[in-house]
Amino acid sequence: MPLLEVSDLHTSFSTDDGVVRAVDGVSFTVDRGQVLGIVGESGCGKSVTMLSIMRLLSARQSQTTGSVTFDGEDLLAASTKGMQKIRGKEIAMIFQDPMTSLNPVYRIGWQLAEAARLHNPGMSKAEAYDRAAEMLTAVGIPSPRERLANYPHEMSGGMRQRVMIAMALTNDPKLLIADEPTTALDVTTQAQILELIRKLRTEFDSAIVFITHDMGVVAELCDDVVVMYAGKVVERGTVTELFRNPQHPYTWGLLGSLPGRNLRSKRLYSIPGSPPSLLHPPSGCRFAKRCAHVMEVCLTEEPILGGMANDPHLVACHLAPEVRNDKTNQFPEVLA
Amino acid sequence: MTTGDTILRVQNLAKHFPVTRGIIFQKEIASLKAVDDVSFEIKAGQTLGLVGESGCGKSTLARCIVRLLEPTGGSIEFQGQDITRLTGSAMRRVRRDLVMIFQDPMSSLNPRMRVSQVIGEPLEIHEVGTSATRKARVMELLELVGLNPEHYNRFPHEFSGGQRQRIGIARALALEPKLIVCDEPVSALDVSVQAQIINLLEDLQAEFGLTYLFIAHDLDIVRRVSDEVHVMYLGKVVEHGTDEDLYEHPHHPYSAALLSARPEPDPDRARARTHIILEGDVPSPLNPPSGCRFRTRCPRAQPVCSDVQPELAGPTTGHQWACHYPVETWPLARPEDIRLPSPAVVAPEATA
Repeated sequence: MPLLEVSDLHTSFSTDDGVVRAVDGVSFTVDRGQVLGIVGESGCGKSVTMLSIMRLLSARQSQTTGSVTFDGEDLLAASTKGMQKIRGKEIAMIFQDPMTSLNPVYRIGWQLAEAARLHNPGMSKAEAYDRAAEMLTAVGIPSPRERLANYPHEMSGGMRQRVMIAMALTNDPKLLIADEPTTALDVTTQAQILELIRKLRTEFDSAIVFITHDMGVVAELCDDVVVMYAGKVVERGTVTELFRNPQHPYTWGLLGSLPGRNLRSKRLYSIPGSPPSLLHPPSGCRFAKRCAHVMEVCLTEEPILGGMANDPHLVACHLAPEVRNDKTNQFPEVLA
Repeated sequence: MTTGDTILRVQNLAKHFPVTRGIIFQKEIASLKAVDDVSFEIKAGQTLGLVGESGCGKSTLARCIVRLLEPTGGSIEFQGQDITRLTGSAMRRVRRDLVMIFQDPMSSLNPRMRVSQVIGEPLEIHEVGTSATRKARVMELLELVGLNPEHYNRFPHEFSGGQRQRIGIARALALEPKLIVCDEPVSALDVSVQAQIINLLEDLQAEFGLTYLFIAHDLDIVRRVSDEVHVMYLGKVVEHGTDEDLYEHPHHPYSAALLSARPEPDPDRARARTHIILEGDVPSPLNPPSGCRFRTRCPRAQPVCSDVQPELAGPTTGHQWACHYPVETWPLARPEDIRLPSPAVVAPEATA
């Protein structure tokens, strides 16, 4: 049984202009100890998917349907109290900007100890601070005892992200959701944090859902990848399969537009146009307007995520498998 | 000015910001050396890339070159003219040929001005043509950067991030400049839009023979667009070379670490690769380390590094590095290989 099973998740927001379907029928699973990457450009619904799973969206402004099963429990049906027990204990989350997710007026130690005591009512204050110091050591912060007395503003960006990771791992969560944790960091700091996540993954044996827009980070860290576009999953597969044999034209475009992968090509491949508005999404395939291989059927009929039997590589595209497996289509820069 | 001539020469450029204490009796207590003794040249029609992490002084350098900041020392020569101390109408004439594109397309466009006003403003300031020809020129520019000329009367907020960056580029092109300083022009954009903007910049360069000073923190993008790359660390250039030389054979340990830290979008190569993980953070530029500024994080640091500041040197003037113990072999087989095998007994002069 997978640790997390999301099936047919829909999240919509009511706005003055109408209903925005930010997540529209997303399904995926995460196994124990696995690192799943969710990639996509801004506005594709990757963060909203995770916020829906954690039930962090206001019920007044959004509607979530579908099912989210975590460790045998239906999260969408769980009570508010039940969710509070799960958040931070079973599932922990790291956000993009560590400055806005740490409380600026409390010391680091207080915030870390709070995370420990909230889920362990019997824990004394001293024990909680011990645990906090232990966690800071685990994430590689030197002289942790002194650091406990620091305020967030006294630390650098990379250091603050380490504190966030320490806080997330305090209660040995089974699942860690990391929402663009390295986007705001410099490249050498990003390398430090990725190295740390790699190390902690073996140490704590948590499954990780890693949300990012950086294909490089996915290649470095993830086992499986889900590619999202305009609120839908367009492709899903193991990291090697996805990079070696991408099947969806959107994935081709994403990979073709990376300067590091296409050094020899004359021009970078760029996907024309911009993503559709989710207020009035087009009928049929949502990528059709920007797709170089668009057919008539794409404009009317929505493709369903599917694949060969027993093949974990899934794609939502009307193109024939021969066209999708053709390397000259997959890597358009070869033609340039 | 023909292709191949030096269009911009920067010599020993420095920008120090004073740090003061007190309100009425302000006293300078220190100076923050944001840019310290940087020299380079750009040839017409080429692109010079500048990479470095946040706080290394790359944006300050860009602002000094277009004279949005007053340099503390050194000289800037543009098209054979020293522009370091130019003022008034003389500087305004230079600004026709020397323009800038900014990182954040939203905050660099006035939200209350229509696109036509934004792009037409440089034409008005420099009194080019009549209002009718200016309007025609704005339409032409919109078309050139791939926007619909019918959107002439829209406001910046009606455009997406990529389109806003195109407006910024159209504004920069209005006066047919020679050199464009691009300060992180694609960092705020999504990958697919990034590729569109990079292609646009490359096309425009080919069409108009433009010269770019391209600043970014993304090493792959800089390699893509640049003929020559300079790596900055704490206000100084630590290594420069052609993109091939620098990316395939970095000699400064910092360039080597930066290159190894960049995530590689290929799962097999990414996992087989040797990572050099630098420890700690960039030191404060208020109180930079003595000697070599990188020594506090350098896996190869030796006692001499804290005493003697290394100068840029190399086999040719095209590829130089400022290091006492440069990396000789590349790629490394193991991460440990970046360390020196034993306490080096070689005097720095002998290795230089």
